[in-house]
Amino acid sequence: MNNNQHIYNRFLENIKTRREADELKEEAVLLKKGLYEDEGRAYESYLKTRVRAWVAGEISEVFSQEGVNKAEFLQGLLDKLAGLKAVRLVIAFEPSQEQLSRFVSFIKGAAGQDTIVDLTYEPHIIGGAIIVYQGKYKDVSFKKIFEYQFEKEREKLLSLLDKEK
Amino acid sequence: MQEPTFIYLGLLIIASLTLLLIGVLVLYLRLIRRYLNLREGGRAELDSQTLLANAQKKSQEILEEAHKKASEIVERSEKFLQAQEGKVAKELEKASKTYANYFQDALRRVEQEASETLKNVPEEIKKVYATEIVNIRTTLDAQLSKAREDSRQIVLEAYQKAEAEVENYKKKRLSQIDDSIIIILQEVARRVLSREINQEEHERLVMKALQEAKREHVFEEDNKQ
Repeated sequence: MNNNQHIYNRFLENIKTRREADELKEEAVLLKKGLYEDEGRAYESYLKTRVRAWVAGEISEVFSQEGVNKAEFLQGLLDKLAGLKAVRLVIAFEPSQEQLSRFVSFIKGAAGQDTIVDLTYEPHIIGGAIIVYQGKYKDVSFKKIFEYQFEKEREKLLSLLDKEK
Repeated sequence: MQEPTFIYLGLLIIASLTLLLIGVLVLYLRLIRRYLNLREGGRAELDSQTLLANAQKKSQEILEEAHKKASEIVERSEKFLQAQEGKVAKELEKASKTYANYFQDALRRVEQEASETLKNVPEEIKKVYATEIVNIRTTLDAQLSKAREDSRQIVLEAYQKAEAEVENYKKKRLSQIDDSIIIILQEVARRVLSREINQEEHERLVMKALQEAKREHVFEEDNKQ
C-alpha cells in the first residue's frame, strides 16, 4: 500500500484541476470494468484506445511489476481520487498551463498534496481571485474593491455628472 | 187399553169433519147471498145513467157559477190594482220628491262646508309650505355648503396625494437612474480595466490573492486552526 501510495502520488502530480481528476476517474473506472469483460481482453483494448497516453504509460508500468493486483490498484486509485480536496478558485482571466501549474503548486503547498483546483473563469471580477475552501470564503477580487469604491464615491460621481450638465 | 184410544180418535175425526161441513155450509150461504146481491145491482144500473146525467148537469152549473165568481173576483182585483197602482205611484212620487229634496239640501250643505274649507286650506297650506320651503332651503344651503367644502377637501387631498406620489415616483426614478448610471460607469470602468490588465498582471494579482488567503488560514483544515 505504501508503494501504491507513492505511485498514486505520481498520478496526482499530473492532476491539477477538478476536470482532470474527473477524467482520470472515468479512465480508471473503464479500465477496471475492462478487467471483467471478455475474459479481461477488453482491458487491453481500453488501455490502448480509450485512455490518455500518460495514464496508459503509468498504468502499464505499474502492472508490469509482479504481484500487483490490477483491480485492487485501480480501486485504490479511485478511492484516492474520491478523497481529494478541492479549492474553488475564481479568476478573471484564462491562465496558460504554466500559470495554472504555478497556482496549483502554491495551493498544494498550502493545503496539501491531496488538493486539486476547481477553476472558474469569471471576467466580472476584473482581477484578483475569489477562493473557497472547505466552507471558507475569501474575496480578494477587484470587483469587491471596485464596488466598494464606487459606492463610496457615488455621490461625488453623481455631482460630477450634474456639473457636466 | 188401545180401544179407548181408537174411540177418541174416531170421535176427533168426526168432530173435525162436522166442523168442516159447517164451514162449507156457511161459505155456501155467503156465496148465495152475494149472488143475490149482484143480481139486484144489475137492476139499479138503469137508474145510474140518470144519476150521471144529473150529476153532469149539476157539475156544469157549479162550474159556471165558479167561473162567474172568479170573473167577478178578477174584475174586482183589477179595479183594486188599478186603484192601488195610482196610489202607489203617487206615494212613490211623493217619496222620491221628499228624498230628492233631502239630498239636495244635504248636498248644498256639504258644498257650502267644502267651499268654506277649501277657501281656508290654501292659506293654511301656504303658511305650511312657506315654512317648509324656508326649512328646506336652509337645509339645502347647509348641505350644499358642506358638499362644496367636502368636495373641495377631497380634491385637495387627492391633489396632495397625487403630488406626493409624483414626488415619490420622481425620487424613486431619479434614484434608479443614479443606480443605472453607477452601474454603467462600473461596467465601463470594468471593461477598460479588464483590457488594461495583461496576463502577467492577472497572474500577479491571483498570486497576491492566494497569499492573502494563506495568511488568513483559509487553506488550513478546521481542526488545525
